[in-house]
Amino acid sequence: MLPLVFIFSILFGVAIGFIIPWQIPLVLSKYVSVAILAALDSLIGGLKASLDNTFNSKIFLSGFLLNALLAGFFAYLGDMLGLDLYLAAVVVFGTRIFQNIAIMRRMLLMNFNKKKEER
Amino acid sequence: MRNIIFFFLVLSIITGLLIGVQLKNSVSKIDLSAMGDLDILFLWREVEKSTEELQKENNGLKNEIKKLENEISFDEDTTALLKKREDLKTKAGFGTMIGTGLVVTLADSNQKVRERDDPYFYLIHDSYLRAVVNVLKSGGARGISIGSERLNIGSKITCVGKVIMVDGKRIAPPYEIKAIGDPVSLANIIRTSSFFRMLEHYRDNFGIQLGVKILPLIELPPSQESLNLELFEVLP
Amino acid sequence: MISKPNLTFIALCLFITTIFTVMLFKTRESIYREVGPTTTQEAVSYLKELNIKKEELHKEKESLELRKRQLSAAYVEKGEFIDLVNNEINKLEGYLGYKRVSGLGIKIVLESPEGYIVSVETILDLINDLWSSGAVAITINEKRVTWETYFELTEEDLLMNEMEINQPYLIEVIGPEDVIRGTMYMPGGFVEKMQLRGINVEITKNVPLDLPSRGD
Repeated sequence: MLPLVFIFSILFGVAIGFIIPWQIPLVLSKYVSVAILAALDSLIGGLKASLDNTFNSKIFLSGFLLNALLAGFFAYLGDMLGLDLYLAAVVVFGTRIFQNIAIMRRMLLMNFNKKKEER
Repeated sequence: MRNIIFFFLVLSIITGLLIGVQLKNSVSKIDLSAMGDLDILFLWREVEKSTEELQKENNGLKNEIKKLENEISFDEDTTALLKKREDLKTKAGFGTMIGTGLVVTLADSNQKVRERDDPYFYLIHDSYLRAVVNVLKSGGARGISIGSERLNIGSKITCVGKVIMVDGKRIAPPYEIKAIGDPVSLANIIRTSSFFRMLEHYRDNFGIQLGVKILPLIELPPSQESLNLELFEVLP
Repeated sequence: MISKPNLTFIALCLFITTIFTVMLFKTRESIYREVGPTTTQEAVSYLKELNIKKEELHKEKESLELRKRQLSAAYVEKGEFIDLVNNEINKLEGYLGYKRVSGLGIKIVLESPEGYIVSVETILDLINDLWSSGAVAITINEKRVTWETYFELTEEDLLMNEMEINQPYLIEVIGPEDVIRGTMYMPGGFVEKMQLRGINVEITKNVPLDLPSRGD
């Protein structure tokens, strides 16, 4: 049930993205890609938190929006300053995504093992 | 407490000042070499798009001016004068031209480059297009276009990497060179031209694509270049 | 495990992120598919050309707008209007080579010490470079280059419109001197190419020129 919902929302998003006629303006595309990375980080963080049972919808939503906006803004600021600030966002969010995925994987494996033993 | 706020204020002002100075430096001019690969591609696309829009605006203005002039032309004399100017412009490449003529089509070879062969022979180069235009002119072509671009007297055919450009506009292969003129003499000159014999040789050996076709009706659009008539005086 | 509202939240955000990702994909993908510059250097030189073109277009737009305003003014005097058109016709005739023209420009002398004949390709290349740097009138050995001008190479001569032109080749150009000189001396430009073939190029700037019409 759970993975199905996610797969469905991804497929739906892809479809909508292709159907709508708009494209991201080229000059903005770099910033948007950093923002997407930040959003992905928030998403995976949210998933991890829900497995942890520490999920808070307000924290999640605010993090999702603010992180994305801030990351995009930092990339823009970095370009204006002639400094590749977006690299900082890429490194930080990239690392966090991998960490969170690793934690989630461990939790899921442990849950799986527990269920096996109970049986 | 007050002290802390004061400190923060001073510190933020300094930071803001630094950022501001830096911004002024880098925004005023775009340093191309400092930008990454993709950024330049993006910038190029943006500039190209805005150039095209500008071109469209200018074309619109030209049409409006033409309309206004036609409204103003009080009598037959003025109309004749306007027509004379239009004919001259068309001769220079800045007016629509309709007539019979032929079309030469050139395209890169789609054969694989054999070992020991120079890939140079498998491609169409800007110099080929210049040479074709030269040959067509010697056959009395009155108007020529390459792809969508009409040539004027001062047209330039250049290339950036593998992309051929006419008057700064990219032309996509296959390259269609249309010429208005007497089809018989144009075809004759092509048959006898040593340059076309060389192209035929390349076609047979390396597979570049070459075609010549007579067309009963060709319409050439006006050149998109701006006609610059400053810089010189006409002597009687 | 995950409560329902939380699930909806996450799924919704995933949905939004995917939309943006696809939009981004569409933008980037279209660039890669196009015929265009493939390296940074190409893009840079292309960009430079585009910027020049854009500037020209801006200038043209200004003059067109001025013209439009003049024409749409409530009252246009007939005499003035006819003078204007006549002036344009005169200029066009000069540009097309029907009339003599004068102006400031540069002189280029090409000479090969061994007496080699310059190839048609070289001459076309040179003329292309000259036009592209903004030349308005060109003569070769005092013969005007017009739309009808073409070149041929026979065994021993370079022909321009069926007439021999001999060494040293004297090319006179009316146009923006600095731009033309810059184009000629560009790395990989005409002068360098000629030097590699052992052909001497001599360029004189700032010459008042008086170029003949094509009939003369």
